[in-house]
Amino acid sequence: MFDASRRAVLGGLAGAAFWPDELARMRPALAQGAPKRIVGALEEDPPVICPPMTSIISSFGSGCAVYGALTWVDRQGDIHPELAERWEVSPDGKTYTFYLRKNVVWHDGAPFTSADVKFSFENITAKLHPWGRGAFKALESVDASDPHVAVLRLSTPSPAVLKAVNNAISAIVPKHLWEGTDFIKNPLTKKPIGTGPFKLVEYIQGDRIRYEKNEKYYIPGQPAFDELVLRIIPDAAARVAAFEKGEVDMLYNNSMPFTEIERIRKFPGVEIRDSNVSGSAFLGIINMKGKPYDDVRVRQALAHGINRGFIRDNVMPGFSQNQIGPLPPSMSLANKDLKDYAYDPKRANELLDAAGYPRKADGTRFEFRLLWAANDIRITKMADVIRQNLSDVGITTSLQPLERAALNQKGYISEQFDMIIDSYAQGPDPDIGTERLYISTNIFNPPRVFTNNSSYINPEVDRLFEEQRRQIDPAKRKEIYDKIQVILWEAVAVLPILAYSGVGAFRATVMSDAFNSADASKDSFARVTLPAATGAALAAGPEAGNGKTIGYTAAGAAVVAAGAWWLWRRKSRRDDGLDETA
Amino acid sequence: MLGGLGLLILRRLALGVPLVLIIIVLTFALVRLAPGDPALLLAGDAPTPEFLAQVRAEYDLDKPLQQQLLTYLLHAVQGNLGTSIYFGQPVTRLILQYFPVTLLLTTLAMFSASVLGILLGVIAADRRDTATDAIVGGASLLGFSIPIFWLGQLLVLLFAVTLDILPAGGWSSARVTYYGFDYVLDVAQHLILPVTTLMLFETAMITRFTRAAMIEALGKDYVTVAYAKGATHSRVLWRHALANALTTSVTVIGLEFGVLLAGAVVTEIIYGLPGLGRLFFDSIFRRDFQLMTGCFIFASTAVVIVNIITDIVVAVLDPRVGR
Repeated sequence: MFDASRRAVLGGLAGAAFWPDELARMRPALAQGAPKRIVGALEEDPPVICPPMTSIISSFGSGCAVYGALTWVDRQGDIHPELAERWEVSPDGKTYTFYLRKNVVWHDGAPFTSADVKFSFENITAKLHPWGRGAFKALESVDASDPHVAVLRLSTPSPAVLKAVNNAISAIVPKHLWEGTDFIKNPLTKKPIGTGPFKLVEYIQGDRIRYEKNEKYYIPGQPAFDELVLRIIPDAAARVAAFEKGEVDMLYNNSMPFTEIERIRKFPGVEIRDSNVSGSAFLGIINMKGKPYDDVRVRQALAHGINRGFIRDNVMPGFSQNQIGPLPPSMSLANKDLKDYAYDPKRANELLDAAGYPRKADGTRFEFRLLWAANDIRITKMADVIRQNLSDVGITTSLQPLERAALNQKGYISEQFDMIIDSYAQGPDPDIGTERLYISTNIFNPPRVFTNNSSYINPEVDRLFEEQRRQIDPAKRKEIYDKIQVILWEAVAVLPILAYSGVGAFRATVMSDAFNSADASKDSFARVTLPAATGAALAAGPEAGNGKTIGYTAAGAAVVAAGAWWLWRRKSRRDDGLDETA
Repeated sequence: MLGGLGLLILRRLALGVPLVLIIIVLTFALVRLAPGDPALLLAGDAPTPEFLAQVRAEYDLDKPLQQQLLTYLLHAVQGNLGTSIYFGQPVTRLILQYFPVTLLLTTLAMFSASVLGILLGVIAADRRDTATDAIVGGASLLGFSIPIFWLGQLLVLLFAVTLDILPAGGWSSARVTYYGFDYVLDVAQHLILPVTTLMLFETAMITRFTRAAMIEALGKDYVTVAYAKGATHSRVLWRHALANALTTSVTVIGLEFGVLLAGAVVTEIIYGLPGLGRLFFDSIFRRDFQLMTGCFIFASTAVVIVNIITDIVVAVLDPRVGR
C-alpha cells in the first residue's frame, strides 16, 4: 500500500526534484508512514545464512534473526526459555526433556514440532557444526514421539548439552523443507526459513540483507520493529563513518573494529554492551613436539618473559581480561586459586639457564617461530610486543604473519611453528571449548586445525576429563575441573595471551535493550525495544535530510555551470582580440 | 578506409584472443601454486577427513593440475567459469551481478574526467607558462599524487560526517527504501563521492597528457599554416591542434578505463559498493580460486575489448593509424 501511494505521486515528484524546496517539504510527510527499521552492519557477505552449519560469525550475524533455538543465553550466561517453555534433566543426567511451545509456526506457515528438533540436532548440528560435534558427542538420539516434547537421550551425562541448545550452534531448521536435500547446496542456506522474529525477504549480495517482521512470531508484541536491514560494509573505517553519521544503528562482533571502540563510545547517544559468555581469547598454542619447547621450564619462561599485562592495556584496552589458566575468567568453572605467571624477565632467564639453554656469544639462546593470521592486526600488535619482550631474555623471535590458508597449512598441519596465536572460542562450556585443546585423543595424524595442536599428552588429564563428564553434582564436577586446571596451568601447553569480550554498540535514540544476549552476533533482535521518543527520532533521522542534499547538489551544479559559462565567454572575447593581432 | 579499419579490428582480435588464453593459463597456474589448501578453507574449522575428501572431489581439487586446466578451458569457452567456493554460486552469475555497479561508477568517473581533463589540458597548453598553467599543473600534480584510499576517507569525513550533506557509503539508502525516480536520485547521491574520488586522479592524468600533446601540436607547421590562412585562434586550438592531440588523450582514457574496470577496488571498498573490484579483492583473501580466476579472466577480457575500441576510435580520429 505504501509502494502504491509512492508511485502515484512519483510523476509530481519527478518535476519537484528540480525545485529542491518543494521536495524537501514533501519528504517528511512520506517518511512518517515509513516502516520502523533497524540498520546494522555486517563485515562480509555470509557464505551461508545458517548458524547450525558453521561457526563463521557472519553466518550467526545474519542468521540468528531468522532462526530460533530451544533456549537463549543472556550476557551473564543465564539460560532462558525460547522455543522450549521449560525442561527437565533426569537424575542420572542422561535424559534432557524439553517441553516445546505450542503456538510456534515456521515462516511458511507449517507448525513447529519436536520432529524438527530431532532432525536438526541429529543431522545438522551434531554432524556439520564444528563445535556441535563436541557438544553433542554423547547424544544417542532425540525422541520425538510427542510433537510438543523433545527428549534428548545421551550415552553419558553431558552438562555441556544444556549450554549448547541455543542459537549459537543449535538453531532449529524446518524438517519438512530440509529432509532429503543436499544440505551444503540447499538454497535455504541463502534464503532461510525459520521460526525467528524476522523473515529474510531480500539479499542483495555485497550490499544488504533485508528482513521483515514475522507477523506470526510466538511472542505477541515482538519484534518491536517492522524491518531489519544489515548492510554489508567490508571496510572498518567505512562502517564507523556510517555509524557516526547515523546511517547504521549498530555495530557488533566482527563488524565492530576493536581499535575504534574508545572513539565510538564517545559518540552521542551510543550505548555499549559487552559480554564474554563465549569465552573468546587469544591463545598462544605452543608446539611441544620439538626442542626446546618440550621442556616445561622453557614454556614457563615464555609465560614469565611475555608482558601480557602490557599487551592487554595497549592492544585491546577496556575489553580484555587476564586469563589465568586454561579456562576463560568469565566461566564459573574457572579455578580462581591459580597464580599468574607474573611478567618477570629475571625469572625467565633463570628458567632458561636451568633448562640448559644458556646465552651464546651473541647473547641469544634460540629461535622462536611465531605464526599468526596476518589479517588480524590485533595479533600483529601483540607479536611486536612479544618480539621485544623475548629478545630481552635472549630468545630471537621470527615473526611469520601468514594468510589464513597458509597459516593452516604451514602452522597447524605441517607443524612448522613454535607458537601460533589465534582467536579461540572457549565456551560455552569447557567440555566444548577447552577439552579439545588438551586431550590426547584429539591429536591427529596428519594434524587437523583447532585440535590439540600442542601435542600435549597426559594420561591423567585424559582420565580427569572423562571423570568430570560423569559427575551429576556440579560441585564435584568443579572439583575435578579445578584439578585439571592446576595440571594444565603448570604445563603451559597453551599460553593464553588475553581473554576478550564481544562488544556491541547501538544507537539509543533508535532502539533500547539491544545485545542482552550472550554474544552480540547471536542476538535475534526479538527483544530489542523502541526507545521512548522513537517516532520523532526515526522520522527526523539523519537521512531524512534528503531534500536538503538535493538542494546543495543543485546549487553546486548551478555554480559550476555559471562558472564554466563565464570562463567560456571571457575566453571567446579574448580570442576575438587575438585574431585581430594575428 | 573501412577496409583498413576492418583489417585493424581483425588484427587486434587476432592478438587479443591468444592474450586472453595466456592470461587464463597463467592465472590458473599461479593461483594453484600458492601455498595453502583451498579445500581446508572451504570445509571450515576442524573438518573430518571424509568431509575434506568430499569437498576436494566436488571442486575437482583431487585431479591433476593439467586436467583441471583443460576442463576449465572447455567450460570457460562456453561461458561457464565454475562455481564460487565461498558463495556456492556460479562465477559468471556473480560477475554479471557485481559488474554493472563498476561499469556505472567507472563510466561516470571516466566521462567526467575526460571532459574536464581535456578541457583543462587544452586551457593549460594554450596559456602555457602563465598563472593558469601553473594552477592547473599544480592541481593535477596534487590529484595525481594523493592516494585514493586517503582522499576517499577525507571526502567521507568532510561531506558525510562533518557537513552531513552526502551519504557515507553504500549503493542506496538503507534507512528508507525509495522507488522509481526517487531511487535514481538516491543512487545518484550515493555515487557523488565515489565518482569524485575516482575522477580526481583520472582528471589529473588526462590533463597532463592532453597538455603535453597540445603543446607539441601547437608547435607544428600546420598550426602556423592555419593561422596564415586566417583561422581564428579558437578554431586553430580546438579544430586543428586538439584534433591531433586527441589521439593521445583517447589512448590514455582507454587504458585507464580498462584499468578501472577491475581496479576500482579501493574506491569500492571505502564506499562499500558491491562492484567487481571488491568481488575480486575478497576472492583473493578467501582463496576462492574459481571466483578469483573468473574475475581475472573477465577483467582482462574487458581490458582487451576496451583497448580494441580505443584503437578503433583512434583510427577514426586519425586516419593515418588505420592505414
